[in-house]
Amino acid sequence: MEAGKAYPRGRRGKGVRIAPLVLLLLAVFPLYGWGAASARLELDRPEAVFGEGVTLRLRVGGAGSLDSSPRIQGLRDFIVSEGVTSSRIEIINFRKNTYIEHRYSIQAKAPGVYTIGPAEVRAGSSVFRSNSVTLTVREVAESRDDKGTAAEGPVFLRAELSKDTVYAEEPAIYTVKLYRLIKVSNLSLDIPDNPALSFKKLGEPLEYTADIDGQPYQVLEVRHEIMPLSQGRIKLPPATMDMVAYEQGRGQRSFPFNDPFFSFSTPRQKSVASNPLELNVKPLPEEGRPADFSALLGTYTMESGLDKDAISAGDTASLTVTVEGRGNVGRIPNLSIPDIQGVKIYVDKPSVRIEPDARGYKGVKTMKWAFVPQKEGAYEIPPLTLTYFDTGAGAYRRLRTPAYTLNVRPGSSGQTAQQATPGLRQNVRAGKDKKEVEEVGRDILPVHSGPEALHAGAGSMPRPLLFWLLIAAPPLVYLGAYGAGRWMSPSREYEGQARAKGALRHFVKQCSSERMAAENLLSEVREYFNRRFGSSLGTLTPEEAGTILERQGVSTEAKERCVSLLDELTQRVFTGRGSCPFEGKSELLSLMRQIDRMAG
Amino acid sequence: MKKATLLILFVLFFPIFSPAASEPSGEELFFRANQAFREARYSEAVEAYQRLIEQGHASGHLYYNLANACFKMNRLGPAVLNYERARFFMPRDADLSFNLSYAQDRLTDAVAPPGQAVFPVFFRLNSVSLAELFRVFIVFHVMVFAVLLLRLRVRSELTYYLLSASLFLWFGSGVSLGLKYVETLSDDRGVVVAKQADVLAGPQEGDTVLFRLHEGTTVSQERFEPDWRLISLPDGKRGWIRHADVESIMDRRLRSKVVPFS
Repeated sequence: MEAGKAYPRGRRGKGVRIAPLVLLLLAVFPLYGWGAASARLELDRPEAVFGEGVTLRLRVGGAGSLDSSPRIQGLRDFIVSEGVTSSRIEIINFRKNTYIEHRYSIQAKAPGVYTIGPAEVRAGSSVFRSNSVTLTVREVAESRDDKGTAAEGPVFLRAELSKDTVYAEEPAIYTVKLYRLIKVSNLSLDIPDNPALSFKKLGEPLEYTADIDGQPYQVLEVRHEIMPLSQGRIKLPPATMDMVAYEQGRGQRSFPFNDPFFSFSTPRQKSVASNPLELNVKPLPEEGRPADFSALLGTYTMESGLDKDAISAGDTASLTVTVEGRGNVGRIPNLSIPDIQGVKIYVDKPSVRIEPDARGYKGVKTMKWAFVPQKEGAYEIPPLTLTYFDTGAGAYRRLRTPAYTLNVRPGSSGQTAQQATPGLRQNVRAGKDKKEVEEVGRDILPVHSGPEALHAGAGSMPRPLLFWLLIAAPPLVYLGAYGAGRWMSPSREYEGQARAKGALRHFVKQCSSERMAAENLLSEVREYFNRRFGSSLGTLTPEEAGTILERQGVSTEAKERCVSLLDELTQRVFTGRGSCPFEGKSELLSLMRQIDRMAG
Repeated sequence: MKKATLLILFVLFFPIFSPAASEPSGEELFFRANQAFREARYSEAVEAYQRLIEQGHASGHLYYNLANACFKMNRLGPAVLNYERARFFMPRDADLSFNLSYAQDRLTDAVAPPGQAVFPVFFRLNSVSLAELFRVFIVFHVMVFAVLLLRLRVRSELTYYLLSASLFLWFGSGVSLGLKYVETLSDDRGVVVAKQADVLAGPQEGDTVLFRLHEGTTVSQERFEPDWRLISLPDGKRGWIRHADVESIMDRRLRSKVVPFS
């Protein structure tokens, strides 16, 4: 690479880092626009007691900004105070949605049933219209508890039931409301425990204001769906709520300006209890009970649809049945279609969606079947029925889907059940002349009668003795081998003797080369002395060699000759001629043999 | 003459009173049980398989055969119970999985069996028995000490890596064995053996009936009181059930066979 054309390393790195980010932003924002535009009106709850505030939310989606304030019909009979307006951006699957939410607090001027909406909002040239919602405002005296809601001090708790009398397994709404004029924290609700009732929490707690005896109480509302599991009169003991209450002490004033912001309240642990309640649980009437009644209660609707009414043999038509309603929705049964001669029926796994709202749990169950006719003709799909007990009307009801006729044209050869709707139960390889394996009957597989059946074999743990033997044997063997090795291995003294014995042989072997360098020869002489006399010298001087030989009892003549030869060798190495051969090597070898014999 | 008559009588009667005639061997009893099963005399087969288990021949195959015989008698509770017991010995047996699945399809209650207490860590603990895991552990146990032994003589790089690998496998299989042991030991599952059983709010007759269970449903047992068991279902339902209506999968005989030193 030419130096002039090279990019500075830092700049190029930054460019590389930014490029994917830019591409990502381009991919996310301009390519996909706004999501679909819509406006939706919602109430925080469908029922309220006169004097209570209700939160109304208008959610406008898919509009960048609104040109004017929303116009909501049906608010003439309410005191409306506009709350906050917020906007939110969501990016889901590379689709950007913008929501603008207007929140209002509304309070009915009189009890009654009100329809609020639709709301209209204008964004650019588009006008969005929302849905309508219904709010029922009850009289205070209509409250389900005996006394109605009357102020009982700065903090009090009330409980109420949506119905006093229900059928067994019919859900009712149990509502606990905390009314407060003072600040509280660390709230803990203890709902009554009764084995004859099952409790399920409904959504998040609601907060609103309620006017009681002319005082604006803050209300915290917690809802539960209760389901009676037995019949008779069931007592619900009072619910209790523990909290830390910040009550202003006597004689204390908010200073300055009598503003609560400056008040000095003292925290105090407080517990309040609600009123007890009683629920009357009636049995379901015997009269008119259908034979196929599946203990389903509530109000339900059933819809069905066949996606195609004319297909070719081997093609697939799907029937979808949706049951939707409120009540003990967990008991919506799986419907079944009887066999149809000449049509293979594949059942999809039913999907169930149960979700809470202000009125309890609502459920939707969707069941699907795929029909694969084997030959041409007209096939009738019989109607499906669902029976339930309508708790509102107090009568058994039967829902029925219409009968469908499936007209089947002759199919092309080779078309078989493999073409069934993807996702439905089928897993057959495509191929001419292949047929799906049909299950003709079902039974268990036979007994095991081989002789091994009497022995637990690999499935049984070994007996305790064998167990411990298997665990302990390997470490014991290892320890034994280690100990034996230590015990049998030669001592250091013996090792030294062995090394000394082989020292001369090693020396002769190493010096076998004719053209051995002087420095290598000196090194081998040192090695011989270390091995033969048990020393560990890094360097060997002629004087040290003389001392060692004298100590070992070598004759003076041999010692002096050795010292002289070593002196000559050392001189040669340290005067820069260490790589040259040493002429006195053969003399040194014979001298070493002589010394080896003399030494002790 | 008198002596000869006595001798004949003795020869004739001796086999009847011999211990072999009164107490058939394990193999013989097993053959008879299988024969009874094949000839659809299922109650005889059940009795014979139970006797074999009581005699100490407990094995996965015997529990499986016993379950099959119970199933044929339409006693789904004992069938599921014994299939579950057989799984402790042969968790991957295809026949057993098929039959258990079929038996569970025929149960009345739509209750998922309680899950395992310990999650699989190094091995898929569900698909191996405790004994198999023990054998795997023993292999690595022996391997570790064999490599240590080798390293007494050969301290090479190869033996170093061999030792590291062996130690890793030894530790992994040891932890898995421990987890499986704890899981098997703490198995608190029981199977409803009564055709229908009421689950009450308290351990007393007359308490409120909370829900009703049917034969073959697997439950978790939390506590035992005289004549009562506190059971729970995976969806959180709890209550007291009569002792006789439920049988523990891990009974004393099975425990002694599959969980030693418990």
